[in-house]
Amino acid sequence: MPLQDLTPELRTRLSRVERVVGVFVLLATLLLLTGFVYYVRHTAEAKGWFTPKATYYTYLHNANGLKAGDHVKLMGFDVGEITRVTAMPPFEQFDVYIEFQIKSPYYGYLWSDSKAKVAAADFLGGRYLEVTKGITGRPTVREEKNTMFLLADAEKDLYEPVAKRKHYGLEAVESPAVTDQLQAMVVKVEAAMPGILGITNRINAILDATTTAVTSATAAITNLDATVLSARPVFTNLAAITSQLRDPRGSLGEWIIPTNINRQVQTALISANQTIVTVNTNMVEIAAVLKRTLEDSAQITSNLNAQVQANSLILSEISALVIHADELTQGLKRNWLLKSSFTGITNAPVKSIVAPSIGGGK
Amino acid sequence: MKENRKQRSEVRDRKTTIIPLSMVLLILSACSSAPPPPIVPVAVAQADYAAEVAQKLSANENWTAAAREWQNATDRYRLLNDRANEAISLHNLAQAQRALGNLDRARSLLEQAAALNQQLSRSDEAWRNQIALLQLESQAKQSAALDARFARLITSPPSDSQPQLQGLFFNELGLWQQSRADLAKADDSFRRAEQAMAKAGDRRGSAAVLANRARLDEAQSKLTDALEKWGRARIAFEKLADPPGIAACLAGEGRVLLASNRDLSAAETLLRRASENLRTLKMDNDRVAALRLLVECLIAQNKTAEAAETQKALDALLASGTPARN
Repeated sequence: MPLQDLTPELRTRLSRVERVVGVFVLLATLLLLTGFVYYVRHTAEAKGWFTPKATYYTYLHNANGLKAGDHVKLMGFDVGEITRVTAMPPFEQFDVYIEFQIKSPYYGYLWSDSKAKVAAADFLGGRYLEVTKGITGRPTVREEKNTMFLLADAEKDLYEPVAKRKHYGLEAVESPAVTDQLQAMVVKVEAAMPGILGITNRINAILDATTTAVTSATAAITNLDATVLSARPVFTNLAAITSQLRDPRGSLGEWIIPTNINRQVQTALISANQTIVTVNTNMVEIAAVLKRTLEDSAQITSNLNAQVQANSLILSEISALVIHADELTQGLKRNWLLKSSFTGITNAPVKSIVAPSIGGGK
Repeated sequence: MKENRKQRSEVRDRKTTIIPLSMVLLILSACSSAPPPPIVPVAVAQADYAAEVAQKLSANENWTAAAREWQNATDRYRLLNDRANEAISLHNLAQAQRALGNLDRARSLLEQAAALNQQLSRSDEAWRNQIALLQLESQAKQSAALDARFARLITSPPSDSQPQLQGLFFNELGLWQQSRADLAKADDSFRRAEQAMAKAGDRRGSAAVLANRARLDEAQSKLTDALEKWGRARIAFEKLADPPGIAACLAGEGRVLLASNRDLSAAETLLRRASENLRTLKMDNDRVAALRLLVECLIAQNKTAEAAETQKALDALLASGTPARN
């Protein structure tokens, strides 16, 4: 119906309604635009669109577990991301080219002596790139009058603008994936097994030698016992001599020890000496073998320690993942739209238990 | 005509206002989420958790563990000065101790719980404590204490607004009156208990009262009524999946059939099944009674060899002297 056909009253009312609708549409548009701007801003902040970035590169032998878009870490923070992973031509010294960007202000920590470490991230072959803080070198980035300069020559302290020098190369420290390390460790352990078995065989032999030495020592002690028994008449004679010494009729001839006793004592002493020498030699050998065993054990534990150090981030990351997943679930449980999906059976309140008795059972 | 147009225009106006408004509300409500629930203090959460665990252990009849956990819950509620929950924990700890055979300890705990509930004017809970004390004294055959307690409680039984408590009380009262050979009063009490249980919608309670009425009918030599009631009670317990109730009803039906000397073969089957179930449930006192009846039933059928074998099993059970669970 044309507008002219309406009564003035209706026309006034209609124009009022149109105004209300117009205001509503305007408000809705404003709300939408505000939301969109907020979303864009939030995304930009999260992605670091407006944050200055410096580009770096490094060379690796293996790109296993790395891909464009992966985070780059520095001192445990996510400071940038890998932008390019590509293979080098066949006859180059290095095999893989990795390019990555570091956000402001973290590139300030990267000096000429910083390294790009590739560390094992998990047991499934994952790895991540980590850059280390510089200590003694020169800063790789210098900012002057809103212009970024990258280090061109550390010796001459020469910087060039980013327009000319696009990226800076960092030396790589590459560690293989955990699975590779474990495999290498298994190979090492396998190779070391004959040595360990040899050590145990030698310990066995030493224990046998020790048993023999102890047997010899026991025999020597038995001999000494016999000697002492044989020497008993000597003491008797000595007693007789001393008694004769008190006697003015003492004779010098009775002072002489009989030759057979002297020989027995000498034999016993030689045997004891030999035993002690054997025991001493064996003890030295045992000590040497034990020392070698301890050194091997120390090496094994240090390897294990290195393994644990390399994987120190796994537990914390798993823990963070669990916490975030829990937070997400709790948030979803409270959302007006989704909370009905989570209404589970709650536990009945605890109350005093009384069951009705059935007679006759008491 | 004009009026009509005006009305339609007003309706359209209203629509044009309501639709945008509802859209705005929808958009706004989309942004709303409930705030996170308030954080429960750790000590309260620990106490509640202990009580929940204890309740599950009691439901599974793991009485040793249940007693330990109820003690833990009691201690924790006491530390929080939460006397209401402390009284509940004490009551349930007493039930666990009763199941373990520590009747004196159970009685002392129930008295403590009752005193706390009286201080807090929690009449429902106080009544639960009193009913548990009645059951305990009945189990311990402390007739004097039981008489005194009934004399005190019977003057002001639970009100009609507490049908479940009323049902429990009249059930205990009926059993007490039956034990004193006051069968008419017992019948009346059981009827009142049955009505109260039905009002409260307590199907387990109703089944238990029905079983007690069947036993009362047996005592009054109304064997046909007793058999019918035992049958109904068994069906009710089967629906509730209550093994002790089912076993009691099987034994009851067998006993009535044997007493009425009809269908001895069915009586034998029922008594055998009851005896097996009672063995599984470790209810040795009831099993002794069931085996005695089975021996009688077998002799009545001239199955002397089987009767001798059953008698041997009965003698072995009596000689073992294992603590009864009943």
